[in-house]
This record gives sequence, C-alpha cells and structure tokens, in this order.
Amino acid sequence: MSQNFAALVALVAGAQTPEVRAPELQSTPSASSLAAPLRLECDTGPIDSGAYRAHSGPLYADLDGDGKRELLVGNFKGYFQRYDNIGEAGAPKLVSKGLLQAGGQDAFLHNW
Amino acid sequence: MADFDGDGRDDLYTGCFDGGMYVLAGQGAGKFAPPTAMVDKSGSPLRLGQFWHHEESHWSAAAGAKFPAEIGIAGAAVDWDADGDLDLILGSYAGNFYLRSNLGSAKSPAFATDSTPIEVAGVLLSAGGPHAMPTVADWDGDGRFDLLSGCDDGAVRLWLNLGAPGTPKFGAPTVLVEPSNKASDAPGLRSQVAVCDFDADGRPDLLVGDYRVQKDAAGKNVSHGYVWWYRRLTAP
Repeated sequence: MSQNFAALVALVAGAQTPEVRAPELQSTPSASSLAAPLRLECDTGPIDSGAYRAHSGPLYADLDGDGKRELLVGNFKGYFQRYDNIGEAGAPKLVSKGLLQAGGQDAFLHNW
Repeated sequence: MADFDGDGRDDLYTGCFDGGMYVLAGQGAGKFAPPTAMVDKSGSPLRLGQFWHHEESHWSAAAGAKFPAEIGIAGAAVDWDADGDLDLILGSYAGNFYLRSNLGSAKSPAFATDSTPIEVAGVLLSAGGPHAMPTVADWDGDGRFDLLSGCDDGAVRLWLNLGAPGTPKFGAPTVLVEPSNKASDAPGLRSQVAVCDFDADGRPDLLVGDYRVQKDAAGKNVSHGYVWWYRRLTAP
C-alpha cells in the first residue's frame, strides 16, 4: 500500500506525467441554504471510517427494498460500512451492521 | 445506485483509486454480487487514463487513452443525452470532469471506448482542486440534473444545469460547503458528497464524507473519516 501511495504521489506531482489541471471558473459564495453540519452518529458512536484509512464516501439509499434507506460508507481500504436506519421518517437512527456483504463475503475493492 | 442492466434491480457502482469503475450487481433483497470492473463496448476496463497495474505494481496508461495523464477515481451515472440509458460523469484525481457516453441501451450498456472532456465556455470543468468526486441531483427543482462535487479542499461545489434536455450546459459553480478550516470539530478534507432527503422533509440534503488526521491522547496521528449532514433549509 505505501509503495503504491508513493507511486501515486509521484505521479500526481508530475514526476512521471504532466499534471492535468483545469483552471477554476469564478465561483459564487454559498447562498446559506444549508444548516450547520452535524456529524452523524450510530449506536456505537460517530460514524468513522478511520479504521479503514478514512476517506468516507456516503450513500443513503434503500439497499434491501424494504422502503427504508440505509447508509453505506465507502472507505479508502476498499470496504463499505453499512448502517441500517431503525428510526422513523424524519428522525433517522442508525445502527452499525458491519461491512457490506457481496457474494457471501465482505464486499471489497482492491483500492490500491 | 443505478440500474445499469435494466433488470429492475439497482446496482451499486463506484470509482476506485486504482483508476477503474466497478459495479456490484444488485440481486434483490439487499444482496449484491462481488465487484466487477465496468467495461467499455470493446470489453476493456472502463478507465479514464492511468490505472494501477495490480499484478505488476506500477501505474500504466490505458491503451489508446486520450487522457493518459488522468486517473479516473469517481463516477456519477446520469442520462446525459436523454436517450434513455445511463452515461457516466467521471471525476479525476487531478480534479477534472469527463463524460463516458453509453452508446448501448438501458438493458445493454455499451460505453464508448474513450472519454469526452466536459467543458464550460471552452474550459475543462474542474472541481476547484484535486479529487473530483461528482454526483448528480436536481438541486434547484427545475427538472434538470445538476452537478455537485467534493474536492480535496473539503468544499462542495454546485454547477446548475442551464441546458436543454439532452444537451446539459453548466455555468460557474456555487460553493455549497466552504473548504475545510481543518478545525477538529468541523468537517475535514477530501469531501465526497451524496444528495438525499435525509430527514424526509421533502428537501434534498447533503451528506458529506471527509478525511482528516488528528492526534490521539497519546500524541499519535490517527486517521478519521466522518460523515456530516447538511440539512437543506429552503425548498428547491
């Protein structure tokens, strides 16, 4: 993993290929349409992918077709942490269900 | 999630830091098949440019790639050209956006063998920094999909779609979430965003994942990746 990471850093730093970066268009400030952020928690504490080298990638969707949505959090190591919602509509309450299963085992991507 | 093969069951799909796109085919009742690489119409893995050669442990450029310096790390499925099938918006490690068109059908996808830059006023669309992490949603409720993305700086930017169906056109971005101030009690870097009505109030909210390194009680650096809920205050 660390060797791979070094390779990516070298690549992005331009050691092997030129950097590809488009200029950013002038952006406008936020219209303050959003409330202050709240960190999501589940039955075991804050939802955290730190044990899997972090980089949380959330998805909130009905994974099992029961009409309620579940939270899936992808992480850097290539696993997906699953949280079921046992709350009511408008008041989500998340409980950890471990890692997403696929084909009878932990779903896993070889995320270099 | 999206139904890539038109079987009526949503599939999970994701980009990957190895430069590929992957799908976990939905099997119903919450079951999914193990990840498989998404392929283009020639059967080659769907890659923007560079990919990590797992067997030989080095980076390689995909054969014939028009953008060999880019690494595709994320994707968002959307019917870009309103032809009834799902195309892919690809986000790159360098922070740029590309389109991979689906030349097949909703039941039999056949992705083009190369990508097309997504441009605004002739300029390659950028997330504002490295780590382009796109998603799509109708943020302003006008019936057209809009583009949102996370970024290395922790911000979430929005590009409203000003075009007609089948010919999306984006303007300058609006910053929905400011770049991280790196405070220990605030959202961190490398944002990844999902749009959903988290509290079921009829308004689309944001869930934003992050990355941070903090010292623990013993002074050791520890990684964290939290998920933050930004509740939408106003109706679209």
